[in-house]
Amino acid sequence: MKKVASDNKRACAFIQSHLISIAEKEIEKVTPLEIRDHLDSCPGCALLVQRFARAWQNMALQEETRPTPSFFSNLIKRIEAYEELSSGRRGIVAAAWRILRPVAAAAVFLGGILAGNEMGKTEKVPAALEESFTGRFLDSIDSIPKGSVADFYVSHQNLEKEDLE
Amino acid sequence: MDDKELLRRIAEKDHRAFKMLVDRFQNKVLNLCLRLLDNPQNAEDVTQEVLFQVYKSSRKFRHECLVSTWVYRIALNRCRNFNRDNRKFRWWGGLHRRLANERWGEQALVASGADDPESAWKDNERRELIRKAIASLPEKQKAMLVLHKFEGRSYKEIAEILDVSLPSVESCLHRAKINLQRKLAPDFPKVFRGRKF
Repeated sequence: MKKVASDNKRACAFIQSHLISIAEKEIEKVTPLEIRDHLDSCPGCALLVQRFARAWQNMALQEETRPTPSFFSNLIKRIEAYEELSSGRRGIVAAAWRILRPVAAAAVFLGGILAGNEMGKTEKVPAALEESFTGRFLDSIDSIPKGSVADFYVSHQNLEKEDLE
Repeated sequence: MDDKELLRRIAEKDHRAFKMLVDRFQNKVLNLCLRLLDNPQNAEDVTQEVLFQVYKSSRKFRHECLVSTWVYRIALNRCRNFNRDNRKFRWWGGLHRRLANERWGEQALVASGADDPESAWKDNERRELIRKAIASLPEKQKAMLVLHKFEGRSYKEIAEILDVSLPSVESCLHRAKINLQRKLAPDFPKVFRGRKF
């Protein structure tokens, strides 16, 4: 009894794992005898195969879709535009433009870089002015009175720098 | 007039021949694009691209394979490119699809005469589940599955369209089935048996 139940369970699992092939065989009416026997004795599997086979067949028989009425006229318009472009003077201009387009894009790109470079330039501080500023700064440090708060701060900073070194 | 003759005439800029070729292929290409892109508007745009490409390249066709194989190849490449270029807008396609599916569901209910609206709704749900699982397959497997199962192309034709060997098509389709099975398995009990285990 137990053996029959386990055999049935195995057969159900087999059917579930080969459902597409079995459903196709069912549609073509060439289901192997062993499977047919199981389907006849197991209503669950029979229903599963029957429903799947119907859905699978419906997929294949999907109603034919037709293009919209303007499909062909749009296609012809497109072809005429293509022919007009590829022949005559306009065709030459179009071909030249096709070749020159990457060159034009590269020129615009390089122009942008150069313009950005020019705009980003800052005025350089004259060397004499820079020197005079440094000199005045050092003079102002030298002129700090000994024992003042500023003197304490400067010497404290120097000590910290020495410690770090 | 056969396809190759039509293509020869198109190369000589015969618009009537082009119209005949479009009539022959537009529905097939549109339906293939629709299955691969999952959005009617995008599918129509890509179909137009494909037919435009056919017109432009008609002179370059080397008559080494069937015209239909060549057109399908262009369509698959265009769909692949479209998916690659619009990856970030995929959620929009999903939203569009959901809305379209709701409309389809309503139509299905009306068509069923509302005798068994639940059954019609469930059928739609099952179909949608399979569609989603197929959409989530890797690009190549999806293309092969759609061409074989839904467009009815033979292994040999698929091998020619995708420019791969026959064993490669067989193994890829086998992998596609296994993947699809794996993706669908968690929903089998709930959606296909109608009860939770």
